[in-house]
Amino acid sequence: MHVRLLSLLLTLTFATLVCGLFADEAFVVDWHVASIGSIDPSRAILSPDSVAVFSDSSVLASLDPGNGTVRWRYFLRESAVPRPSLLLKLDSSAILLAAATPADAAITHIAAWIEDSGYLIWEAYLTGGAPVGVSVAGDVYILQSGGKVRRVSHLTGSEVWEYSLPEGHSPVDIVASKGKVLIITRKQDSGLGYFTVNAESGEMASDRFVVVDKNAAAVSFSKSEGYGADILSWTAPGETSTIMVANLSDTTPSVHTITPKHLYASFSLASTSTGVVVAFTGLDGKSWAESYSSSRGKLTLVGSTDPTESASAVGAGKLFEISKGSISSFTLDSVDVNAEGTTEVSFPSSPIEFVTCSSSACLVGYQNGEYVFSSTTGVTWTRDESVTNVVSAIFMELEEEGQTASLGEVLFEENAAPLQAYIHRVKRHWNALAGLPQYLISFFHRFLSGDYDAVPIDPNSTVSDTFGFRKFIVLATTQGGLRALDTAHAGALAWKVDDVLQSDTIVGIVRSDAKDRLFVVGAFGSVAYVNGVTGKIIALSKIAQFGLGDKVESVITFTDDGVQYVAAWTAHAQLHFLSGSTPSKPVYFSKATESAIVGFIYKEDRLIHTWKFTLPTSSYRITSVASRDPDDTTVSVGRVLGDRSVLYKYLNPHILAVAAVDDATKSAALFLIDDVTGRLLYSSFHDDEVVDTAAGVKVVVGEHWVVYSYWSELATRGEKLVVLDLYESDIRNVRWSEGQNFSSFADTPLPFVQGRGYLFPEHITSLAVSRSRFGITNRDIIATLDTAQVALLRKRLLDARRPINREPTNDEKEEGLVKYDALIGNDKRFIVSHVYKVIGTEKTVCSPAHLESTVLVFSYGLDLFFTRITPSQPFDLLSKSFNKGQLLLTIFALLVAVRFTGPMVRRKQLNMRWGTQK
Amino acid sequence: MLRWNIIVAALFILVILVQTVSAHSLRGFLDSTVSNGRLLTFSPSTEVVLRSAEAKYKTYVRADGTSFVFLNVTAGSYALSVNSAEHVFPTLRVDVATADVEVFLTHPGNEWSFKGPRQPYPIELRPFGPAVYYQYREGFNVLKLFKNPMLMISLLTLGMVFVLPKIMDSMDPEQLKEIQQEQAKSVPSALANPMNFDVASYLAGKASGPSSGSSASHSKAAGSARSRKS
Repeated sequence: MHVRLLSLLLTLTFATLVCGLFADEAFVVDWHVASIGSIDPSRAILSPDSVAVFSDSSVLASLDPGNGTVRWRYFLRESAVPRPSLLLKLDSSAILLAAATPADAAITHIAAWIEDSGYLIWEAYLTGGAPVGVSVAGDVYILQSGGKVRRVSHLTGSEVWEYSLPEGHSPVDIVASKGKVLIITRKQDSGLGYFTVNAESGEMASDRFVVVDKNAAAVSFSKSEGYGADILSWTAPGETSTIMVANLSDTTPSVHTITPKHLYASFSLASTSTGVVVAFTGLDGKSWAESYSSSRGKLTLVGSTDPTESASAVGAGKLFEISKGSISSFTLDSVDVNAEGTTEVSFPSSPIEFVTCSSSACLVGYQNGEYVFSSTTGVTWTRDESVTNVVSAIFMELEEEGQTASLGEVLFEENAAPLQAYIHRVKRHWNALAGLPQYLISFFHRFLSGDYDAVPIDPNSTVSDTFGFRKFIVLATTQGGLRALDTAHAGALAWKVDDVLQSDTIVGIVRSDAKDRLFVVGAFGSVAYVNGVTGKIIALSKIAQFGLGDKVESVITFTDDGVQYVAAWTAHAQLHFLSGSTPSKPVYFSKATESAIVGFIYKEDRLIHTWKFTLPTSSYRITSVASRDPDDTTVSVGRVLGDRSVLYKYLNPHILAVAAVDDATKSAALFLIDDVTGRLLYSSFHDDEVVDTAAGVKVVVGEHWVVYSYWSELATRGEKLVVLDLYESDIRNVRWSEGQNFSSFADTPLPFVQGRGYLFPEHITSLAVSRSRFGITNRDIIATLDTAQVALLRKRLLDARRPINREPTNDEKEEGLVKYDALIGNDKRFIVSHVYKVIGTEKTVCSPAHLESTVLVFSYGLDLFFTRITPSQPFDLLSKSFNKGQLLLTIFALLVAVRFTGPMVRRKQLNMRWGTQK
Repeated sequence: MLRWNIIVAALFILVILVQTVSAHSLRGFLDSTVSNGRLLTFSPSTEVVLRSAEAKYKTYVRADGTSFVFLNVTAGSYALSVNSAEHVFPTLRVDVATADVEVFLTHPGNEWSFKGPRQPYPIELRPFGPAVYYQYREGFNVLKLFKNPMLMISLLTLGMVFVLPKIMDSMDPEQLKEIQQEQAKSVPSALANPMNFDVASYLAGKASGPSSGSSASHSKAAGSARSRKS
């Protein structure tokens, strides 16, 4: 098979440049948090042996009810939307999901899945609108928004019959039982009512639309689902004191009126074996429940609970009350509501969003994004899904443990008078002697244990390990909370704060001048100053002179004379500095809109609009903007070629890479702009390639280069990765800047740009570039893929100088260049996330470890993925294959050899001197 | 669930026949047999993706563990790939037309107009092999140690140390003298004196010729050679 041979050849070619993860490092240096997203109670099925969920993030998942881990999950972004969708049990071992398709809301996707293994049983696409109601009675009966009713085989998903509602009916719900199908609709002039359709034939059983109420307002429907009766409930318009109910399981349904004890704000109704139970939430926020028994065509109140602050929900035949510190259960029978027992449980303190219960346990959703699964004996498990909705993520440096000299002390010794500094230093060393025994003990312990890896650190401490592999990742969630994850302990929660900005939504978090402090900025001008290591809120304030109706759009940082200024940029084009002071020198920045980049200068406390860059035609739209990481450092100003001549890098920190697509012509373009003056430095256009404009262009800016990627159909299908290397001049050893800093305002030549295109077989969803501590280590490109993986591409591989159609010359070989081959990444060893399924990642952030060789990488989106990478090999770290025993053994063997051969040599030399040697 | 597996396997064909959705449906299976007769298993999360510039369809392996079905596919030219954590699959080109479905083998980097060998329909996908994400460290191996050319050379030299004196002894004294003189002449200075190797000029790309300073080292080397002889 020639394809296989070709792959093998490719694999061999790139063996040197593909540095796969070592098998013994997998699951050690990396971790992964598999998330499902926000849970909606209407799309959650609780049963004793499973919890099935279709989340707001389009993830269909089955959770282990014992510990809350994901048994299986599918990211159904392409085939099903969460709203509108319905999730229900098909039978004891399978679940059914009916949802509108993302491409066309008038098509329903319906699929059945085996609940324990997760295999797909069948699926079908049904025209006729989004799903409104689904009922399972052997086969599946589905009511669609377009007025179609279908019976679908529960074994194959094929259609048995189809029925169309008469004109003028808007569908409400469907319930199938005992050979008949009730279709509840609303008719324009007659009100709420139902049809009856024969389940076998799909024909209308009685040619009558039975009206139950002429002017029903909010309608809810409680299906028995194998327990109790099918109860239709609704309210009269503008009425908050009564509820109307009709039992559709009766042969001739009659309408009853329920008048609760107090006025209610909302209610939920469930059927029991003897009647109904209604859980109310009052106008004062308190909740209570009332149980009604149905006998001889009448509904009579049999019992109720007292209004409390707790939330209540009804499982099958049971009532549960969840308060902040306890869970109580009540049995419901035809006589009374009986308290069964209360268990003291510590629940999250965040307000409850929903409670949904089965007969034995409840799933409680909290506003901070936490979900607690609790039975009457206590909390079974907790899942924190707030990390699926991350606004922004930031690495927090931790202090190293037992540092002998603080920065202040070292600075004192460097700057004080020599004698004073010397005395200070001697004193410091004398004091440090106290720690010597401890040091010696730990040294010998380490020597004997042979553990030269990162020293284990107490998970409860807030100190860094020797190599700086331990940091906290602070995540700002859309629910307004902060979460800090410990990189060294598989992403364990270090601390959390809910509702940091007091019901303001977080727009961004930035590190302040003090290393462990964070600014958290909200949309409506709230600013929290937070200790990023402990999670303590130091100060909470509002931006002064914040415009009425204004909104913070983003947070910008400026550095002026080593001082960092943090500012909030608002929708009304205002710039508010958060740290109080404003920069003394003018600062420049730019903002991207849909079709233009606008430049600003902030000078003498005034904001002046300076330049505007508009795209060539109006049909272009900007998909991404990137600039170089301001903390990225450059150690070498040039690139040394094989003959020791130098190409000088075009090092301009103000390069702004703007990527745009044209939806009409299916083309893409990239512009490099000077951020200060708006000068166009370079542009490239990709016309006639049929670009996937919906996926957009992903772009990153490295040291003196830009890498961008887009999917296109021509000349070959694939993700095109383009690298542009920028040099001061194309002539070797020529440097017009002459080593001086140049100003963006000066009339400088345009950079010399060298480019190469590469082909990557998978769809790339985002790009990022690694950053090491001192910038000596190479840079890697981190790409998140559409296949739920994270790939690592060497910048050395994405080189614009690789020779085309010929072998590299000796000089080029010395430069580290290999022959150009367009196709890269056709090897699984590029996948740094290996067997993890990292779904929905949208962004990657990097942070250097204390070691120059190592970079910490964190991808987030739906899932979280963390790993450590070494773009230039772990040159400053002892390899895992280092065998201390072997080394000691070799030394010992040599000693023995010397001991034995020594006398032999001595004897020989002696013989030589005496001349007795033969 | 065993029950579902049986039902699905039995009704698989029926699904295809009964499907009444207006657009096309595609079916295929992942070949679970490999050359040595071992059966492969495909996890339920094995995704099969059908993609063109306009549309993307994704489905999963069915409960029988090998088959997959795409429903509601519009006509067009698609790339079909399998996204599996365990196996690497080839990419196929699937042309869906109103009349029939054509399947070709393709490879990333090929021009789309270039069609590979025709493949059968229903689609049959045989994995290339297991997905290899890892590198493996080479442990200590005595045999490998002895395969190392450096070690072989040093062992040979070590052997010569013992063997050469024996040969020398058996040689004619005059012949020996001749050889020694020739050796002293022919050894180039740079090699004879690695201590004088100029690292800086080598790195700077300058030809480190035996020009400067080597004459002194030459005489020194000769001198030392002579002294050893006496």
